[in-house]
Amino acid sequence: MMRKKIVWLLLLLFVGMDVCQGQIFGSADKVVTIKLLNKDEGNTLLLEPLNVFVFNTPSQAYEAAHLYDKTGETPRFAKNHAVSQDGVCALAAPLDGGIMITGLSMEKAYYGRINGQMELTVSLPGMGRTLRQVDVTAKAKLRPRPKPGKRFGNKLKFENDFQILPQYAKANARLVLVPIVVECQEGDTVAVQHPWVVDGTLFEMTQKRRMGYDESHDPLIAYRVDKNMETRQGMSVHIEDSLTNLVAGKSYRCDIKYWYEDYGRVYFRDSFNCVPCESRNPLRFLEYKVDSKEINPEDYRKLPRPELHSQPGSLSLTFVVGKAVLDPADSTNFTQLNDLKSELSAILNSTDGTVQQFDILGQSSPDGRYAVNERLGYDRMMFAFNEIASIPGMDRRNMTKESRVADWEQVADSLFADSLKECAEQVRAIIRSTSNKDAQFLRIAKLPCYEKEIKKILPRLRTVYYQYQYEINRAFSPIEVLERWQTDKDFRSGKREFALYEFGYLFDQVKDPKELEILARRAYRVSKNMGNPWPLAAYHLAQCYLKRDTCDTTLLSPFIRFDRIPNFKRYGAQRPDGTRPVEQIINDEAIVSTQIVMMVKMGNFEEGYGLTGLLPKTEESEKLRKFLDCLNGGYEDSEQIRNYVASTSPMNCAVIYSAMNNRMFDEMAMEVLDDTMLFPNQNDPKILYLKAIVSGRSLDFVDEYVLSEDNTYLLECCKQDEKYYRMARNDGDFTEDYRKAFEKVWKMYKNGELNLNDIKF
Amino acid sequence: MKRSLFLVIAMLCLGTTAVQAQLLAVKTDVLMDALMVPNLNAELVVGERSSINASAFCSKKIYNKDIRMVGLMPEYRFWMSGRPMSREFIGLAVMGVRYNLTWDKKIYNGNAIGAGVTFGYSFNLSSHWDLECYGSVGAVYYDQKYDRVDNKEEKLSNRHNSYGYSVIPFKLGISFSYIIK
Repeated sequence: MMRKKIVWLLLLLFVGMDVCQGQIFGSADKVVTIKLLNKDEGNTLLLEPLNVFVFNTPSQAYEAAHLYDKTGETPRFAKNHAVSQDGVCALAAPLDGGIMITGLSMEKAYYGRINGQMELTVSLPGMGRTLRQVDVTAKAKLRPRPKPGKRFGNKLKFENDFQILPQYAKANARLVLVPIVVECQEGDTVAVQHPWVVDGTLFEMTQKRRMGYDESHDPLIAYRVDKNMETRQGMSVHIEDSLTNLVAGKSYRCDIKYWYEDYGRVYFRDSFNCVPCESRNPLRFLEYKVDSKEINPEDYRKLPRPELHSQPGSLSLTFVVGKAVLDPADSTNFTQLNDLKSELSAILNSTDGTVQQFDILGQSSPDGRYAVNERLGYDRMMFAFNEIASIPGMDRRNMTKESRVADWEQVADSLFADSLKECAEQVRAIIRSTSNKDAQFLRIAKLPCYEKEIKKILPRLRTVYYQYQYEINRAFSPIEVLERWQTDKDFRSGKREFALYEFGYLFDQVKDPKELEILARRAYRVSKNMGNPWPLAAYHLAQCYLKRDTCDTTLLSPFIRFDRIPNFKRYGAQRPDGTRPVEQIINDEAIVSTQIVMMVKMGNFEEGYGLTGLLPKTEESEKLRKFLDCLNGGYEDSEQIRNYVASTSPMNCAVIYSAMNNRMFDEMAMEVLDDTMLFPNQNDPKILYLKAIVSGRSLDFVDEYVLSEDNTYLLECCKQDEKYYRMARNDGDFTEDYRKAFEKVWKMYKNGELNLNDIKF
Repeated sequence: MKRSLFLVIAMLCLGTTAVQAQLLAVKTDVLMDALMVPNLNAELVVGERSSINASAFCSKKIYNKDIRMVGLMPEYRFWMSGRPMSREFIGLAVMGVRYNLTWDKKIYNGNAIGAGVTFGYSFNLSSHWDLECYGSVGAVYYDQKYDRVDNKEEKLSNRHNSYGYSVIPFKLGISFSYIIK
C-alpha cells in the first residue's frame, strides 16, 4: 500500500515537472533564425513581404492560423515580425512555442512548432506563383491631405497647402481654387469662399493683350496670389481663410473645387476635401468669465410728463316730480353731488392738475307728455350743470351738456331684467304699434302693470350722467405704478400702456424675470415706436435674454458706435439754471459689456474683442480684452497674450500650451499636466483628455492595441464621462487613425471584451 | 467717286474710335534691317484671336547693290493660342511691291502683287516686348521690264516685257515688337 502511494507520488511529481518545465522554459525567449524557402523556386528570394507571428504554444499558433484563414484577422497580441526580401528572419521566441506565417499570395496561413530548434527552415508552398516585374507609370493625382480647421467660437479658421503638379502647370495657364464650406450633418452648402487664383507668367502677361480687356473688370484679379504658377516640382499654394457666424454645435467641412485653364479651355478640373468635419477646438477647456456691468438707471430715467386721465361716473339724482328740483326727502342726492364736487375741487385746487373736459347728460323719464319731459330733462341737466360749474376754478368752456328723454324701450328692458316678462312684452307691443311718444304713454298708462310695476322703474330713469377727463402733472410714485401693474388687468394685458418713466419704476421693483422681460419688451417696443429706442429697456431685455441663454445682438447695437469714445455723453440745450441735461449716452460701459457677453455666448469672439476697445481702460477690461483676443486665436501670434492667459490658471496654462500644437509646447503642456502640485487629481477627465491630445501627437503609429495598453488617457477619460467620447469622435486634435482605433477600443470596452488584466504577451 | 471717298473716310473715322480700346504694337523686322531695308510694321488687335498686321518697307541700295523697292504687306493673323500676340499664329498676307533692281547682271523693273499664308510664333519677352519669328509662302504675279545690264546696244524700252506667276517664300523674318498699349 505504502509503495503504491510512493509510486503515485513519484508519477505526479514527474508529470508536474514536465508541465512546469514547459511553462518555465516557455517564458524564456531565445533568438531563433527562420529561413523561408520558396518551394516552387527553391530559393529564399521572396516576392512579397511576409509576416511571422510568434506564439507561446503551438496550439495558439494553430488557432490563430485557423482564425486567419476564416476571417483574415491577424492575432492582436502575438509578436509580429516582418521578413526581409532575402527570406531570413531572426526573432525572439520561446523554444517550445509556435509560429504562424502569413502573406498576400498565400492561400492559407502556415503554422508550425519551433520544437526547440534555434534555426528553422520553412518551405512555403503558396509562394510558387512568381510575378514578372511590371513597371507601372502613372501620373500622380495628388490631393492635399485634409487638415482639421480650428474652431474659435462661431468662427472656423482653416489652412492647407495645395501642391501644383508639374504635369498640370503651364506658364500660359491659370489655376482657380474655390473653397466651399458645407455643413456636415445636412450636407448644405453654407458659403462659397473667395477663390484663390494662380496665374502662369505668360497668362498674366497676355491677359492684357486681349481685345478690350480692362483689368478693373476682371473679378478674379483681386484674388490672384502674389506668385506665378511654375512648372517645377514642389510648388504649392497656401490656402488660409476663415468663416464666421457658424452655428455652435454644428460641424463644417471645406471642399475645394479647382481647375486649370489655359487661354481657351479648362483642361483639368477636380475637387478635394481640404478641411474635414472634425475640427480642432483647442480652447474648449479655457477657463474664463465674462460679466456685464450693472446699468445706472438714473442715467436713463425719463421725466414724468402730464397725462390725460378720464374718469367716468353717474349721479342718480331724484327730482321732485314735474320739477327740476332735487327731492329734499332723498339725502343721497346731496351726498352724491357733494362727493363729485369735492373730487373735482381736489383736482382743480391741486398744483399739478386740471380738468380738461366735463361732459354731462341729463335724462327724464318718459311718463307724461313728451314735450314737457324734454323740457324737464333739460332743466334737470342744467341744474346739475350749474351745480358743477359753480365749483371755483371750473371752466364752463370745457363743459359740454346734453339732455334727453328716456324711451319706453328702456322701460321694457328694465322690466325684462326684473323678470316681468309679460309686462315688458306688452310695452314692446305698444312701442311697435305706434311711434308717437304721447300715444305710447297713454296706452302704456292703461296697462294693468303700470301702477304696480312700471311706476317703480321710472325714477331710475330720472338721472344725470357725467364723464370728465383730467390731467395731472405729477409723477406717479413707484408704489402707485407697481400697484397698477399688479392690480390693473388692462395694464397687465397690455391693453393700456405705461409711460416710459413708469416702466423705469417697474424695472426697479419687479424681480420676477418673466415679468421683467415682458415689461422690458413692452417698454422697448413703445420707445421704438416713438422713434427713439430706450437704452434702459433694451438693456433689461438683453439681460433677461441672457438669463435664459438667448442672445439678440441687434438690441444694444443702436447704442454702440465705434467712432465714439467709451461712455460718450451728448448734452442737450442749456437749461435756465445753467445746466445741460444728458440727452444721449453712447458706449455706456454697462451696455457695451452686456453686448460683449452676448457676443461671447454666441461664440463671436472676434466682434466681442472689437467691442472691448469701447470699454474704459481698466485692469478688468484689459484682462477681458486679452482673453477675448486669445479666444479669437490671438494666442498663436502673440507671445504676450499666450503668457498672460497661461499665467491665469494651471488649466489655462495647459490649454494654451496644448493649443499651440508643436513639439516644444506639447512637451511643456505634458510637464504641466503631469505636475501633481498643480493638478492633484490626475484622474480628472479634462486632464486625461488633454493628455490624450498631447501624447497622441507624438505617436508614430496608432492602433487599438496602443490605445488600450500604452496610451490609455482617452480610454480612462471616457470611462469617467462618456461625453468625452462624443467629443473625441469629432475632435480634429486626434488624427483620423487615432479616432478609428479608439472607436474600436471603445466598442470592445462597451462589449466587455477589453479586460486589460487578461492580456498576456 | 465722291460717295466712295466719303465712305472710306467714314470707315476710317469709325476705325479710329475702335482703336482706342485695342492693343497696338509697332515692330521692325531685324532681318530686313540687317539687309539695310528700312521697314516698319504695325499690328492692331481686332478680336479675341485676331489681329491685323501691316508692314511697309523700302530700300535704295542693299550692300551697294542697286536694289530699289517699296512695298506694302497687310496681313490678317489668327492666333491659335487664344490670346493675340502670343504663341502660334497663322496669317493670310497680301503684298504689293514696286521694284527696280539689278541682280546678277540683269535688270528687273516692275510691280508685283501676291498673296500667301504665314506661319509664325511670338515669344512674349515682357509685358511690352515680343519677339516674332515667321515665314510665308505665296503666289506672286509680276509684271516687269527685264533686260541685261550689258545690253548697251538696245535701250531699255519702257514697255513691260516680262510677266507671270511664281510661288516664292515672300516673307521670312524675325521682328521685335513693342506694344504701345
